[in-house]
Amino acid sequence: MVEVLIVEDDAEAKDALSACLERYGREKDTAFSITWIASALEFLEKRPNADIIFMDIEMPGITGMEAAEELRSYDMDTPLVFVTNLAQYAVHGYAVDAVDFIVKPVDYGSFSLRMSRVMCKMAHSEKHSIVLGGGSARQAIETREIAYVDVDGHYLGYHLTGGEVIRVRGSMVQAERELASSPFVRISSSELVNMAQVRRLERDSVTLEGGEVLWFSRSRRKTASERIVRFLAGGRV
Amino acid sequence: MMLEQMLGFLRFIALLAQIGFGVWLFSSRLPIRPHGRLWAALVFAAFFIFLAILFPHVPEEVEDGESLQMQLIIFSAFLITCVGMVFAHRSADPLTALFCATAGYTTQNLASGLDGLVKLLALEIWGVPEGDLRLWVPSFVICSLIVFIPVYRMFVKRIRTVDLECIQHKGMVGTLIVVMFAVILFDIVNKSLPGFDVPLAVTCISRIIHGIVCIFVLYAEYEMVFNRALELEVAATEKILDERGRQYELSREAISSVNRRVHDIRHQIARRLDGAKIESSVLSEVIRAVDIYDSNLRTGNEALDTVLAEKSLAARRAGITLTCIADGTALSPMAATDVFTLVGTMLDLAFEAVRNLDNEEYATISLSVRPSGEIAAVHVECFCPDGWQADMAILDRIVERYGGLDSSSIDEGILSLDVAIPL
Repeated sequence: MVEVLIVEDDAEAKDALSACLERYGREKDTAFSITWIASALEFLEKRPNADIIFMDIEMPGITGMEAAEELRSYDMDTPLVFVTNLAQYAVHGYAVDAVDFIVKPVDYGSFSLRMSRVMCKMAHSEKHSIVLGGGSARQAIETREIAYVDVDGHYLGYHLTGGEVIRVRGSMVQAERELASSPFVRISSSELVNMAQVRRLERDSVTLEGGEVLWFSRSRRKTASERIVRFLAGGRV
Repeated sequence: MMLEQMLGFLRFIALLAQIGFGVWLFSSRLPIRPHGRLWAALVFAAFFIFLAILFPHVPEEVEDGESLQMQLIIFSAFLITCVGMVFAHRSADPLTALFCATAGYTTQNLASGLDGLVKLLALEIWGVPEGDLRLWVPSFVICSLIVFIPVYRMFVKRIRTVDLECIQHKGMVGTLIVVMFAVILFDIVNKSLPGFDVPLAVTCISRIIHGIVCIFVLYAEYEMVFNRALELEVAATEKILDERGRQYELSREAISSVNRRVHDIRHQIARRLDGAKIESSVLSEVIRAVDIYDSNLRTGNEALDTVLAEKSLAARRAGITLTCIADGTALSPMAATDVFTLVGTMLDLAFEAVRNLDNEEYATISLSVRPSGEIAAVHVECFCPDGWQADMAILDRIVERYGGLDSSSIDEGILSLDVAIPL
């Protein structure tokens, strides 16, 4: 069940959005639970948990944009979509990491395009863990903490974002399979990179947040670099 | 004796068929001229008339140097006949015909050279005579397959993606001379060597060198065709980019004049209606009507603002919803004309996809421009018809200038165009 929060002072606009969500749920076989909050002030007071937030910009008292700024001070992950007729303000939605905005009155075509991107973003930000090591050395690691994986002989090296390296026996194919639900891409026969950790992308290499520079192999360069471009620019893989 | 003559004739036919197939492989995509087959047959007949005139002068002894000259003349004449036949049969200019004939002929020579080597080794090692059909047929077929299949996959298939009519490279004439004097001459010498009692190793090396020369000729022709095609593609793209650059200046002036005018109208409405008794709904209506032309988006990048203003108006006219979340400063390392062309082209590709949708309900486009780490990321997405393909040539060119990368993909009926420019 996907928890959707609508912050909207106009009941009619809320109903239109709910109808779109219901139709989208039917088409994509996804169940949504919708909560409605009629003002930004109430939203900030309650700080409700949600998987997706649809926020009107023009609301009495505190605007949706101000509420979004406050939201990002304690929650950087929840996908946010503005619903507005003020395109001039929504254009600055990048400042609060909004996925996109939908122009009022909401029509299903506009809604479903943005919603499918939100669902992709949600899938990427879902937390996944893998268990590394054996016996007493076994430990669960969140996949988002892995910057990249490399292979040396029969051993895989899981390079964590903090700099620690965990070495376990295994093959690259095995690691690729284990990390399939997280945004990892194979850039060479011996390296698997977490796309969320890519800070810089060039034609032949990627630079990770930790400063490591990894090189594409000739055969994987095109496919891998295109996947990274799609992930970084559009959030779709 | 009669049987031997018949077999000799069949071998000659097989050789012609092999050459014909090679030339056909390269020329098959060219359109056929009206009465092309008739013209080609006439050229072929002219070759036989030439042979009939020449034959009384052909010496019988292979050792005779004059025979080598004569064979060179005959094979060169046949190569020129092939050029003439392609030119007569297909709608091709002389250089294109030259390319198809020399490439096809060289491929055949490569196959025939390999076949000759196999037969030579069979004779020397197992004592199987060249004329033995149990060797001749399998060797001919297998060597043809060994050569023609890779040539087709690595060369012909790629060549077919290029407009062969673009061949204007004068180097093609040089190729003809190389084929005549290196490929053909080498082949004739190779065939004559066993008669001179030359060691087997020397004959083998000579045949291998002949094969290398053939491969080199094919490679040189491939490079010539592709370089020319690339040059033309780059020139066409550069021309479009130049035009878009000029269009940027015009659009910038037009949009800023529209914005000034909207600003003035809004002031005039406010002044005239000040104190007048008018319903607020009517007032809102008037202001909304004026706002349609207010394209004053401020993203922090003038070129981006201009292209967004222009495309927003175009989208409204076409009934397309266009939304944009943009930090224009992310594109500040790029030249204004490149920003205008890059985003404009991405939006044009999306407009084209949306216009081809059956259901107008899905006429919506989303654009985002934002920094991501040390990258400026531009993303456009929209619904698109099944099997849609976006032409990325212009984007590739701009993105290349900045060492960036782009991607076009379709997933569940949604077209995504993505660009990453290193900052």
